[in-house]
Amino acid sequence: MGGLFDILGVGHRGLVAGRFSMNVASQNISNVNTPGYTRRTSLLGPVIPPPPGGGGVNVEGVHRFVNKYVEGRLLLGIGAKEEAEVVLMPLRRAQAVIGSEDGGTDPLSELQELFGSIRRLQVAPQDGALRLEVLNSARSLADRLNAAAKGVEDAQNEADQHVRDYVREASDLMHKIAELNAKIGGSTWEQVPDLRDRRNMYLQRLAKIMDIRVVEDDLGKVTVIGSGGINLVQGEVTGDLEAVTGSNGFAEVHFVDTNGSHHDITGAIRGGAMGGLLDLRDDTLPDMMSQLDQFAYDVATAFNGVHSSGFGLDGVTGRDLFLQPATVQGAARAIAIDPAVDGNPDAVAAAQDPAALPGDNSNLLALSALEEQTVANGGTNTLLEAYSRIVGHVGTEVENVQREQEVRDDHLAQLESMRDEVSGVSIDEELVDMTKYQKAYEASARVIQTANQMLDTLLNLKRD
Amino acid sequence: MTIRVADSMVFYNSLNDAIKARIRLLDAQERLTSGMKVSKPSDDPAAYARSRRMDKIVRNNDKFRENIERGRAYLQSMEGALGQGQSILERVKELAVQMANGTLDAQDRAAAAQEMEQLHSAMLDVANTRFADEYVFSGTLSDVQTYDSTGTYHGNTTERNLEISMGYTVPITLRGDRIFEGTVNVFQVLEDLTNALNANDQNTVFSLIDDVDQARDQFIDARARIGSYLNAMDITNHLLDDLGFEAESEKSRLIDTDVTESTADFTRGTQALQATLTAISKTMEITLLNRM
Repeated sequence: MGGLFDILGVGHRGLVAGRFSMNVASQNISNVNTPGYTRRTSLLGPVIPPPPGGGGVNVEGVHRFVNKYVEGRLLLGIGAKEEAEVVLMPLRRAQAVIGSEDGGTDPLSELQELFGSIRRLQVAPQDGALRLEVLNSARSLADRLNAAAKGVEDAQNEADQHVRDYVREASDLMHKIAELNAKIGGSTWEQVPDLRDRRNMYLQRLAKIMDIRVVEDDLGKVTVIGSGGINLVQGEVTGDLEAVTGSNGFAEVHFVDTNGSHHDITGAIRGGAMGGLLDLRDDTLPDMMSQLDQFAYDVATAFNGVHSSGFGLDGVTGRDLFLQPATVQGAARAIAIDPAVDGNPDAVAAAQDPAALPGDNSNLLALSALEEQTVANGGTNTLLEAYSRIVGHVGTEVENVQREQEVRDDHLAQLESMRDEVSGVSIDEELVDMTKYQKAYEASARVIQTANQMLDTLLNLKRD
Repeated sequence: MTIRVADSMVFYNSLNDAIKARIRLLDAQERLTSGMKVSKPSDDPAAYARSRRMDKIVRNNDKFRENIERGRAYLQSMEGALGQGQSILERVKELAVQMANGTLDAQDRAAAAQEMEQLHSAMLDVANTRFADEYVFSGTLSDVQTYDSTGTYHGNTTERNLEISMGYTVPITLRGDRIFEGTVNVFQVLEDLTNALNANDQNTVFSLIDDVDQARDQFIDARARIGSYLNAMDITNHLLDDLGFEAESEKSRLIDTDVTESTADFTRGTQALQATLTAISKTMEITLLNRM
């Protein structure tokens, strides 16, 4: 049977437990707005083995409220949202140079201007000012195509730069996660919740960058499995991510393990910001570029074919209107007005019969007829159709990503809400808990007071 | 089914709702103020592509109408010149009929020959009509004087065609040799008449009257041809007007804001945002903190 002093001990442990629990609750309250903070509660249990009559309460640890399933899904959701978000800007920029707002000045409107100026020259083919207009619209068309190609190229380079930045950040995060794995393994339980919260934050930041899966072992250390099944972090062991410039000038993403061997994981990265950017850089934008190239090549070939067969006001034939690109690839970047006609309005080949100058406009009729001929995409489309397809392509791409971003935003918000349902702090709840702990603390104090009075009673007995 | 409500849930859900309501409102406001519901390809790729096709029709029609306007001026200048030529021929015939009369003597005919010479040179002026610095009867050799004083044609036999709608052309300069040297050579007839009058050759003058009639017919034919081209231009112009109007309204339907609809959206959006904000502030007020 326990003595009165034991009761004092029980009361003291009650005070400790109350103070500790109050501490946890106030920690929760002060972190109500801390991102990634996980709600905690004190784990209390009776003292074991109990002395006869019981030894009071023991603080056994701190419990974090975590739903592992939701946390895993959250990592994917974060990556998916970031993937859509990061590609939207470069895509929109590409869209703006390819298909202008309200049909202002893009390659298509310049092409129409060119046909328009050719038609205007039909009336008076000897008119120098009208001839100059044809050359100017041809130059504007080439300029617009150059600008569109440059816009796509810029977007590509920008995506590449971002990839390089993300590689550095991801590598850094991997090391931090490995360090925390080591710390969590060797720490007392009081520190672990904060370390875990911090590691979780790093994991979420890594998930923003690339698609990862996380597996936790019995000791609380995590293995981070990256794209293509490579273990980026395994307990305390990790490697480096490096951006290695490939043959096309763009960064390849390499995982360098502790032995120093390189693993190219560029093609395996599917999600997160890097997945989106790589897809944009290596797939979407090159697609757009090759469509623009084909269009520029077709424009040059079609116009040159007719133009070079005609005669200028000076009776010279065989001059191209556009500098003929050597290959389809790079045509949009290279297309320009031919130096043989640039600044030389007389060179516009309006005539088909050198004996019928200056009033012969029959080659202008042949040039304007190109508008309705299927001279693009291997003779399957008119130039307008061909360009409309490019615009449609980029428009649909942007539209899809926008819609996808909304969906993923909602999905992530839902996941975050599910996480908070378990892990988020509720002030109401904490206030109730605080009241509970306060009462318990008061009661424990009363126990000590009572035990004290009982001791007094005992001591007074002796004096009588 | 929610089991627990954390404060962050209340906060972020409210925030999300408010943001969404604001985006919807901004969207409606943008459509109202810009007047466009489709301004970028991604707003509606299909409508955007279609609007650009309509835009092409509108722009082309503008060019065609411009061409018709200017082509018409060429045709009208030729038509005016040929009308003048026709009146000259009418005076020639009048003079010839008069001079074929046996009561007139050599002196009368010599005076008439002088007038005939003037008419001849007036006819040369008609043949050498210029519009916008171009000889309109020289075919495509528009910088070459059509006829010299000896009545030799220096133009060519090609006519300049102008595109007045997609793929449809009408000539706007004519080859003068067809008009002035058709069945009869107008200048030859005038020269013959002058010579006959100078020679006081009453019979030849008489016999040339038929040729004058024939020459006049050549002018009438040419004017009829020009008339038909002008007519074709008028019809095409109307057609282009109609097509352009249709394309314009289709384009507007595709990309312009439906003001009634967007105003309704805007009103709805304002109300929704207000309701959301009210609900948020009410929800946030309710906390145990205020009761303890």
